[in-house]
Amino acid sequence: MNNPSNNGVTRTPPAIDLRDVTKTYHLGSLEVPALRGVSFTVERGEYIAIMGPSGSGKSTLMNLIGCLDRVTGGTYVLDGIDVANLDDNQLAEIRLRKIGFVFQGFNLLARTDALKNVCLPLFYAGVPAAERRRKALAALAEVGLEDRAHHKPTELSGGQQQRAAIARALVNDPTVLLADEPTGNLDSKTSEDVLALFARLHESGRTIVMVTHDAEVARHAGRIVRVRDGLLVEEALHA
Amino acid sequence: MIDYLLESLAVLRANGIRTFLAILGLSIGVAAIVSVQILGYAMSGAVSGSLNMLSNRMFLIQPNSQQSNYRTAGMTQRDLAAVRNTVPGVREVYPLFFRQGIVRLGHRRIRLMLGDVGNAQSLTTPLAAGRYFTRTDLQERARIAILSHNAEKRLNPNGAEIIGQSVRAGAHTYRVVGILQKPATGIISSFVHFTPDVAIPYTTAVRQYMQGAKYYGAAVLVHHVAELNHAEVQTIRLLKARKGGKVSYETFDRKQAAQQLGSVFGVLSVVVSLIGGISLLVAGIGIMNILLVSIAERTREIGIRKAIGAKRSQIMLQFLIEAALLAFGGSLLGCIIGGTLGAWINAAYIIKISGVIVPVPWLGALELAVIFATIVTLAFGTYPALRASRLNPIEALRYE
Ligand SMILES: Nc1ncnc2c1ncn2[C@@H]1O[C@H](COP(=O)(O)OP(=O)(O)O)[C@@H](O)[C@H]1O
Ligand SMILES: [Mg+2]
Repeated sequence: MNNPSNNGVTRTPPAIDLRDVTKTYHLGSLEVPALRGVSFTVERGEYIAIMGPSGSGKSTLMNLIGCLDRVTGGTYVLDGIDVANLDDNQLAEIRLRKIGFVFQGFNLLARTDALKNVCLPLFYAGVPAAERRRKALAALAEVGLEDRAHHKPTELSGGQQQRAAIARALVNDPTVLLADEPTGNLDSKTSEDVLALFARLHESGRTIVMVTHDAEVARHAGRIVRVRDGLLVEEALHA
Repeated sequence: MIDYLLESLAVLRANGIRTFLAILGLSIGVAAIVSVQILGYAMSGAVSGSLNMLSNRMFLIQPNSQQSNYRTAGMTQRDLAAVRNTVPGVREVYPLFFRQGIVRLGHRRIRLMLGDVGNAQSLTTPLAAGRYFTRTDLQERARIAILSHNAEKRLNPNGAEIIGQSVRAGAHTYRVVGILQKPATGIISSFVHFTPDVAIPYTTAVRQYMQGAKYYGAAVLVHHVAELNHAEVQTIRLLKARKGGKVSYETFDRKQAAQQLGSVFGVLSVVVSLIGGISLLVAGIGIMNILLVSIAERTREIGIRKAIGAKRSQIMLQFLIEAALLAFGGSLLGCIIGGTLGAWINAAYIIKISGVIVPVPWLGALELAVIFATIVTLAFGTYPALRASRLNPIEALRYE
């Protein structure tokens, strides 16, 4: 289950399938090619680290994978759905159901306790209040934060905040968990905790795509993808 | 929906002072409009109530004051007699006479208004004591007077028996035969028809004050209301003919009075409503401003919500609810302030002046507040909400 692509034939479509994807930003009349033809497949259950120097296009790639932005050229099929040409509302729906975001800066809502933060995706999905609470508590339990449900972000440590954010990312049972430098704001001890959590999630079948510049962090992933100047330069299979 | 509401409430509470100021601004605008509406309502009620107490069988006639030969248009005793004898439906015609002067009772000297009346119908207030002038009194030009409530109080502060006593005005003496009740219709009715403090029979007034003079105002009493308009037309026609057609006259009756009062109050309420409308506009802009500031402050939050999967419509709804909370808070507060103000002015002035009790239309005020709130929400909340919903999530997430 961890690596269904091993036998070469899969019944289920890959989680992520990018073909010749380009992304060009327009700064006035200036064209900034951030991605210049990226083809890249992530099978279900894979744990992938994306590495590369600053400005190489990692975040751009993550924004595209996360359906926060649209490709300029090429195709993108997410969980069997062609998302390259969806409108804003459809993209929001995809983000809601198929994507779980984990950010470097946690990005929890400040005035809102952990439970409410985790409830948010369920709320936008139209889940009734009682079920929201039940599912959110289950997600918090999954990241080991059930006893901090009613703490506000300011009352949580960095590691706890990130775990709450991971619970929020998981609560709608997304196709992929996207993490952009998830340990960037954490000390090495709490980084280990978060990475251990990722490993556990990976073992339980989650698909994870993580951006990092730290080789130590990347080593936890099953596969490392390197980005340089808007191109994938190397795919080192390592587990 | 409840969640949106709770969320918006939390945001508004977190920014207490800003919220309070926005609500206050709106409530002032709404209060102005609501109180004007209530006052307009009370006033028109008071006016029609007051006018009902006046004779609807009487009209006044006078030369048109704009004409060059105003003097020639003055009416003689014969002209008035002709009106009385030849215009169909006319029961009584008498020249109007008013004069300010010192009136004495015993050693009390009070400055009062002396005037003439035709008969009971031309006195708009019921008697408190005594009697009206009789036909015989008019024929005999009796030297008698009916005192207004005000005149009686001031001439006779001790409340001694005054009927049968004599009051002096200038060279003349009048025996008091009646006292009127406190007028229910003071200022408003005086606009329509002035009730003198000391009323004497018109025949007496003609003999004593207007001998051989020309009259520039007369009251005409008809038998039936239905004859009034026709009598007005006929009277004007007759007087014109008697002056060789070179002059013009105008008449004035209760219906015209109501129209004039109505237009005065109409202008008044338009002016105040305009002021209220402007303050409403300013308040609405204030609300829009607070929403825009709130959105700028929460750009990152909006980015997070959108990244998580919130649709445009869901973001928009959240800010519209915030706008609606502000708008309804302000409007309801304004409704309460304006309603209380209107009710107070109504009780303290309008009812006192007019004597007509018009209940405050609270339900109407509430309705007005709800309508304003909805308009403000949609007019000033839509743009900020739309702006919030259109934020680019990537840029919003980068926002510090
Ligand atoms: N919104 C944008 N507008 C214009 N250029 C951008 C924008 N976002 C990123 N870029 C450019 O695209 C390139 C890749 O950026 P990014 O994906 O953020 O790199 P990384 O995350 O690897 O540091 C950079 O040259 C960056 O300046
Ligand atoms: Mg980056």
